[in-house]
Amino acid sequence: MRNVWAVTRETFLQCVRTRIILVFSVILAVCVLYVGFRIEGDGTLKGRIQTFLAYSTSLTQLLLCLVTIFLTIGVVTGDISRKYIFTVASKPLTRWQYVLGRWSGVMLLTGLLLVMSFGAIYLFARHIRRAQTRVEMAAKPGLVKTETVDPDRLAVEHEVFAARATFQPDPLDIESAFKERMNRLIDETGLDNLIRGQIRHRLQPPPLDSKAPPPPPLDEKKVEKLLHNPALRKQMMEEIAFNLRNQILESRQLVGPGRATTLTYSGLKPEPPDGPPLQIRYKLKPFQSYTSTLKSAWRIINTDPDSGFSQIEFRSDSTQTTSSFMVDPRTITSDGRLTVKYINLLDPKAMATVRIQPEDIVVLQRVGGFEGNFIRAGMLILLRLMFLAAAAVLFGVFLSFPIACLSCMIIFVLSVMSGFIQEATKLPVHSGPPSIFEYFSHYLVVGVNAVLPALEGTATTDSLVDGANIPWKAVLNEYLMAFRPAQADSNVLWRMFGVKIVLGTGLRTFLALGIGWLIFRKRELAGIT
Amino acid sequence: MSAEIDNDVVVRTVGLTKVFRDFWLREKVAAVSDLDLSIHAGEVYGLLGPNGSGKSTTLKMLLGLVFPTRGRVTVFGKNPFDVKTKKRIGFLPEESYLYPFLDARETLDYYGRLFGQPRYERKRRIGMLLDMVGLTGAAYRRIGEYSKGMQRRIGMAQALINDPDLLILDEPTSGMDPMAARQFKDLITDLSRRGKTIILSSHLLSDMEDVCDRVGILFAGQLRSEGTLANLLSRSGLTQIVTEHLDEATCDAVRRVLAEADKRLISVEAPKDKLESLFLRIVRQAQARHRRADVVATGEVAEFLRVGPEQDRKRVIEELLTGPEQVAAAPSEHPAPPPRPSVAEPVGEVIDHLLADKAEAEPAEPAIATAPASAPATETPLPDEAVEKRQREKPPRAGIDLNVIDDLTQTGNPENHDDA
Repeated sequence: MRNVWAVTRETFLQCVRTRIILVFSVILAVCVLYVGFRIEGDGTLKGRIQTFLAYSTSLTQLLLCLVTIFLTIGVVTGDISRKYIFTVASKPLTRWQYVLGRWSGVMLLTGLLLVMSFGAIYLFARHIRRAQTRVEMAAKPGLVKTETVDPDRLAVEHEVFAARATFQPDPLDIESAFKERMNRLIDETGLDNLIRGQIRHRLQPPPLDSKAPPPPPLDEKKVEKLLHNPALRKQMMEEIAFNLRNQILESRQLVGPGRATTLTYSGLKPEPPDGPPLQIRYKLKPFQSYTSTLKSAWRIINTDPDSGFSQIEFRSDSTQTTSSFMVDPRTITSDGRLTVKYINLLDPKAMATVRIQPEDIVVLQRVGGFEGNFIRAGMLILLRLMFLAAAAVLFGVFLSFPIACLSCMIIFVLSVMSGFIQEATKLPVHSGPPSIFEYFSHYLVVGVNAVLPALEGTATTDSLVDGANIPWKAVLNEYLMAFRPAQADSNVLWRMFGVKIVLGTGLRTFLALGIGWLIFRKRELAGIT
Repeated sequence: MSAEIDNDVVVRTVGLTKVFRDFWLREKVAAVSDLDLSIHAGEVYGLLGPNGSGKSTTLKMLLGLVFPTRGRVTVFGKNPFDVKTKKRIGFLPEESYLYPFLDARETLDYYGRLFGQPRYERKRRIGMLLDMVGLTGAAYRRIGEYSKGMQRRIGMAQALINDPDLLILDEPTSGMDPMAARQFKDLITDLSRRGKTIILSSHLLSDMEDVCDRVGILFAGQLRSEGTLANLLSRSGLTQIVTEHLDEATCDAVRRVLAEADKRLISVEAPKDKLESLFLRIVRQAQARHRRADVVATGEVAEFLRVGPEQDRKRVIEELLTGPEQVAAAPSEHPAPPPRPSVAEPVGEVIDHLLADKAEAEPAEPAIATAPASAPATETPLPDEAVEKRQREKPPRAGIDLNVIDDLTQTGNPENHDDA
């Protein structure tokens, strides 16, 4: 490891003395300072801090990613193109030591830059936090302070300078309703007829276009033959059950005007009466109708028999934005449950059926401080830089500077936009069989996503801005690997094991370095002279 | 070849071939073809050839920078990719491919680290090497600001940081002024005398002639001729007599004697100084008056290069236990290795004798009579370059190790030179 350290040290010195690092540092400093002093946000103190955090962390991330890519490729390709490698490789230095040393040298520098810029952002955020809110500025000096809490100040402390866990409502229990409906369906229709209908549906889906000419009649002999295939019967029954469950679930999620639905949240931490408030964040989506505003009433109830505490909120919200309100911590039961009753108010001017999905109404509870969260966010960004540096080493050992930069930038963009690209290349479900191009693009993206980590740059920033907790487990999963239950859409291998293994960015980093080493090991360092 | 001789072989190539191919794997250039080489320990071997003859490619295959297409190459009996092999090699590429943003100390420190040298040892060696190559005054300047000659010097220093058993030098004097080139050649001779095996690649014939024991001439990737310099350069049909100045009458007498012996006199002329010698003399005198601190070499071969590795290690331990000053004062238990046998060795004693005579009495300018005669010129004073060469071949002085290049540097006293 002594040799690795020697190369690391040399790389660090080289990078420090490169002008590119000076340019990037100046840009970074200027941007952070500009954003810190100039940006006002929506006029509230909370908005100002959130805007500052959003811009400064995004900018830092972007600049550091670019610095990492260019520096790493620069030092590796420079060694080869300027033939410095002749002197280095003739020393007792193995190729893996060189690869690892170069990577860790760049990481040492970019890590240091990350610490410095995050330190500056933190200090600035604290500086802005000390500024006065509108209410505080309006208060005349000398007057006795009122007991009224300034909502802006409250929001700064509990929504920004906090690490809050997000809770989604417990899944609706639809099993009893499902069994009852299923039994009724079989009694009324008959099992064979039910399956026969499903086979017909599969063989000849109803046309999407109502004006389309009627399809040719089905071959009934074929339907009857399939009906007696035991495996197919089982598959058809599974499809029927799946559709029925979805129907029940959708009907439960719909809340018509003047109707109400109750959601329960569990796993919350009981708080003392003066503990930090909770927040309910929601976005109401009108179902098959359009209205810009929806009026609602919310009742948050502590269902403990000896408590009986409840809070009522009346809201009028835009359907385009996410809204929120604070909830008293006394609404949590002693076993950590929260019951929320949503009432879709009947208003002739703003009336619509609302569809509520689990992610639409969430409860946020403070579980930690801002500083810890900030450090974990920094660790996730560092991980991204580590991967990009490894990718840069991988390309740098066998490509020229411009080609390696281009390749690395493609990797960067694909990783950052992986979610979007995956969504955009999904195989179409309702518009007939996919074309060859659609198959090709879909499986290409599936392959690329299997290799590349998802580096959505905004995820970390969003967490910081929203004061959303980044748990240590998530950080660990990103560094190593995550085990997730295999979903129905997982591939055969994962379904067989019942669990899906997702390689963390950290492991992918070392995988990239390993591939880089293998290529470099086989590479001749000198050409025709 | 006997087993005993085989053990002595440091570098061996058998049927070594390198074909460079293009992207489509089509043959582009056959840089080296079926090269068979055996380089022995303590030898200065020169690879001679025009540009593009395959010299550098051969060296790069010895260093593992390029993979052979066919054939086999071993260095110290092992694969050149072996890290243990590389620990014993020092390499100076054809240009000083050193990081321009590091200063001389940082550069040497970096390469010292790659050899796993402890901090104390690195510091010691860096100081000595910088002194040796005359860059102590420029130790904190970045390599990028160095002149080409200075870059070659620091390149040489990095090649010696590990006290290598095998030194591979690719065009070592390229881009150097004659003064520095002379110093380099002296250093090579000196290192060779201390038992280092040296492989030189150059197309500068004078460089090769000055330092090599054996040369191989490459052309179009193939070894065209190989042998010792004495064998390759000797002209058996001619005899050269060098005497003091002869007047016309004596010359006539010589002609008559030759005619009686039925021999033809080919030429009679006063010897001419080599341009290199003239240049060195003038620069030496000028340097004595105007010294530039940053490029002054002490001429002292770095201490750690003067002794064997085992002895060196013991010395370091002793120094750590007793302090460097005490160790330096104490007599060494391990004498320096004896000077390696050289092709010029049989006449060494005669030369020493001549030099001693020359120091006592300055002779008149000698004349050379080149004639088809067979008498050896044993009693005749030599011209400048010959004197310098023989001085370099003198065995180490007692007490202090050889200071071969000190008479070429500013620190040496110009008064001591026979031409001063």
